[in-house]
Amino acid sequence: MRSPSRLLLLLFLLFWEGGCRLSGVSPLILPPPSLVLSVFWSHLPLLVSHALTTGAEILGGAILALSVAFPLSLLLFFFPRLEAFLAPLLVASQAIPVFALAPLLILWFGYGPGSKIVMAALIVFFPVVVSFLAGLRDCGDDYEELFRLLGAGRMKTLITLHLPWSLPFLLAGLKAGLSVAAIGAVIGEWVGAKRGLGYLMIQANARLRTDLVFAAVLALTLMGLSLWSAVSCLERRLLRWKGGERS
Amino acid sequence: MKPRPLEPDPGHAGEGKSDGVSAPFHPLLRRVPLKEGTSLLRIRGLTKKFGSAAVLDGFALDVAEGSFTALLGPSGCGKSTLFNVLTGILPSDGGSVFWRGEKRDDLAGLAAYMQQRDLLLPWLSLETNALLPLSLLGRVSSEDRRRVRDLLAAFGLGRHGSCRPCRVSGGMRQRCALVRTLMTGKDLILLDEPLSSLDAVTRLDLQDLLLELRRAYGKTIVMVTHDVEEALRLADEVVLLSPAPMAPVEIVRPSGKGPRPVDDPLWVRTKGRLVASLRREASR
Repeated sequence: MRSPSRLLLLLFLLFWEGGCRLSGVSPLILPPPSLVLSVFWSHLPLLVSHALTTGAEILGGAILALSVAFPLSLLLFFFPRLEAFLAPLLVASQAIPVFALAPLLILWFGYGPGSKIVMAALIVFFPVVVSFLAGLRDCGDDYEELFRLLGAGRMKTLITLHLPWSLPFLLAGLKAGLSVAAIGAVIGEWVGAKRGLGYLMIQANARLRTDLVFAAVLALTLMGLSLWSAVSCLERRLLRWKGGERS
Repeated sequence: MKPRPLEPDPGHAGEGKSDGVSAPFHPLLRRVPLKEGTSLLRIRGLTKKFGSAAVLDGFALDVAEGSFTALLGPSGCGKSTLFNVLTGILPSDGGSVFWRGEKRDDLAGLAAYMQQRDLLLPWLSLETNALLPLSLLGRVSSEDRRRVRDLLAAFGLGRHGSCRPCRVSGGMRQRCALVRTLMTGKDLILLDEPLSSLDAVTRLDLQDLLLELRRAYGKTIVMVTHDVEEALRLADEVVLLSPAPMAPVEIVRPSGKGPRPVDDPLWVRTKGRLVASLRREASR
């Protein structure tokens, strides 16, 4: 984390801590960050075991989303006319709140991880399709003409030109999708689950353990940051060629 | 780095030099004996319309084998469209193209075309970029790799073969694009303003390189340019073109071989005349 971000975070925590202590607000309503950190530390094994469940659901959702988004984007790339038919469905998949779909998905896929994976996938899917498709279409006519002149067929052009060209777009979409995928998994766990950070939040909230709810939120935040960093790391490794242009 | 002259590779000195000229580096770059005055390409009545607007309307041009032809015309007159139609990127709306006397629809598979941008793939090294014409056809041998390295060295890129395009200058990228164009092994090279985005010094270096290319490999070059000086310095034949529908309005054949000295009085007079003609055509 860069220094200005660290400073901003520190200021925010100080303000929160000071606000709680000076106003005398009950920790049941708003626990100070020191209490949240202390509960986080003391409940670390519990939080980790639930976080593993949520993390697996998010990753499962990402894999499911990618395995549908990848061929669908290629289909739309090769047959642009299909977009007119499929675009409304794609937009609808984002326009309907996951909250509205959650009870139905629980009904269809059960209380286990299946329904949460589908919910996370619904969230990851859209940014991946939109970004990947934009990447596949981005290289421009000049490159396509060059490949045609060099005698490359459509499949060779896809593999040699379009796929590598779209990689930065695909990773950007994945990054955006993964960082919000936790929303889908947690909502699923709220509606019905036996494990996971969402389940833990609901249980803690029912017992007025606001400090534990905040500790679970902190665990979710850390998980989101880790996923973001993992994709950023992958981006740096795969996109080394995107260095600064030399004049 | 200034490219070194394209001298024959001593290891291949015995290959294909019956015409008494230096041997090539690569079988793909087989030297075709120059047949001065023989038409490699004849274009007759070529027509291309976009809607009701005719960009080419009965366009005609002869290109002699081994010649360097510069097409000079105002912006938007249809020079790039001509290349796109010739290479088959765009379909023509009429007319004929004769390749060595044989009538054809277009020059697809016969001419190499280098566009204004270098169009290198940013994730590949310069060497892999230069090998693209062969790798796309799935036939890259270790011999090809050695030869492309020789060519890169001849173009002043010997130490940069493993660099990615973002790590080298615009001039180097353009030289790499020229190597890639050469690796297609075609006898006719169509160049669409290949030097327009380069600085003056790099431009002069690459102009010399184009002449070396023609001298060492016997390539026939047709180049679109906006630059009268460049056209007169390099070309055997400068074709001044009218605005769309594009047609040759004047053909200048500067004496001697390029690169021509820019301070020659005749050269200066010809340049002045061509600039005036170009202005007149542009204002039409």
